[in-house]
Amino acid sequence: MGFRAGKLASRDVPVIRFQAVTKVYPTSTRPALDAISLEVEKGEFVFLVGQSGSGKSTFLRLVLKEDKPSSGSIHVAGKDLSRLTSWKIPTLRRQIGTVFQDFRLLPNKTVSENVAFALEVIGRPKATIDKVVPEVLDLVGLTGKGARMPHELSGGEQQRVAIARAFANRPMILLADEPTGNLDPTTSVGIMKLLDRINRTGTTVLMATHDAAIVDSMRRRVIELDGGKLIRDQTRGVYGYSQ
Amino acid sequence: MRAQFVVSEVAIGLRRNLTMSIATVITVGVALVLAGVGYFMYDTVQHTKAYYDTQLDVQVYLTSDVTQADRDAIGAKLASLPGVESVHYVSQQEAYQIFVKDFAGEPELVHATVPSSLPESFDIKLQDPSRFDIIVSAMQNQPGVQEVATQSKVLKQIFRLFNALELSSWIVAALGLLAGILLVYNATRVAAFSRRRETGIMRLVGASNAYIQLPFVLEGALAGAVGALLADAGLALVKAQLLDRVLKPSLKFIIFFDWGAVAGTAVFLLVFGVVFTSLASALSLRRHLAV
Repeated sequence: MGFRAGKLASRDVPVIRFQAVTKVYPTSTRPALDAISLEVEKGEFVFLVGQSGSGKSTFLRLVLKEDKPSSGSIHVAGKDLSRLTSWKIPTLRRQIGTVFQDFRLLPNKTVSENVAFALEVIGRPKATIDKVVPEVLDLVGLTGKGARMPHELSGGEQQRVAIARAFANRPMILLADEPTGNLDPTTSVGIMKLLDRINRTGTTVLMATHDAAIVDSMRRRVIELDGGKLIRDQTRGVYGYSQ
Repeated sequence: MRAQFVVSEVAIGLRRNLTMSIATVITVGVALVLAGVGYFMYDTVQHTKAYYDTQLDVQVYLTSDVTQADRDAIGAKLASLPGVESVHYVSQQEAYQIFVKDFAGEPELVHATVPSSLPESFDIKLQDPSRFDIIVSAMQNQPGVQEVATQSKVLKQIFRLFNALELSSWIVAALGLLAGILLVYNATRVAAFSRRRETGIMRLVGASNAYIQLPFVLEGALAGAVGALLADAGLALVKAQLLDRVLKPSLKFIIFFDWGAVAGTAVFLLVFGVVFTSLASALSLRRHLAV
């Protein structure tokens, strides 16, 4: 069924490795994730697709160690998450940038302050922050908008701020949970171009999405979940089934 | 860790919740004042008791014009009484030396007293301190005897009063402290909730737990510190105004606490206040801040 053709042999450790990972929530009968095994290599761009309730968000939460699997093992950036002590978790999360459907910006801070916040709270010196923030705002196409407040921006611009914040620390992995969910098709394209640009800098991108048009137009690796099970893992895949 | 960031977060937090912060400070302050007052009473009773315990069970004070013959007669009679453990004659000079030592914290009083203003006495230790009536009846109409003094009922009554006041002070202080701690706990919970967006993002981008929690704990600690400082000021006021001006002049024979005790208590309350409010904050975070 699923196949991955022509994978180049890589000596790098995969950035994400799931081995027979199962997650059962106490309140439900069927597992949210059912014996998922997969590997994501450095620099890949992966779409995670599936209906609501298929396990996409659970998958992303497990990568961030927001939750623990019921069984199986997860390695992120070469580290076994089950062995990670709680005070090492912040270090893990600094290597992962996240972008959400609802942007999650701080409404009382300007664009620059929102991006700077992510750097301040991990202790970056002011000099570094002052240099990095304008750079990353340029990268996402928000040059000169540093002083605006989030509510003054369009949805697409707000998402760009969120991406800037996620990328400011040059993380190894960028997780995106339905980043275009609240955006119109045209704006979504712009966001995807940005994520593609970021991916080309070497950042591994893993994006959960419903957006069939985007997936079809980009033809990247597609991992499909259904009822917690991994039913498709296809290089250069499309959203729906196609042989 | 950037101090400037932490400080600004604390400032924002306090401003956002100003009414609650003020309520907490006042509650903690009042509770600590009462705790301090309770301790002062305890200190006073202990010192006064200790002083009077070194005093002997019964003292027979002599008149100022007593003769040597009278002295000898009194001494002999006292020594012969049943139940008397020891008899010790205290001259005016010796009485003065004792006085100077005991009232070292009262330089004005010492300065105003000379040996000749203190009476001679016989200090008597009884085998059974409650049987002072033996002495009283023996010294009835004895020439040269001014009065027979016992660890008087008045003193005992005063001790009982002080102990009762001390106990009530402790109880109210304990209740106040409980209220203060609960306030800090709750204030922290509210603060954590109202800042959940920020803390959520901090968690996500990998801020260390300490960094996330520190501003909240510091807010609690600050409330404790300010409350304690207010309490310290209150206690200094109690010492200066109530004690030195009102109580001491009317209760000269009580050995009240001195400025040393006030200073020591002030420091202790500050440490105690800060530690307990910080703990209350930290505990609240444990429960109400996801990490």
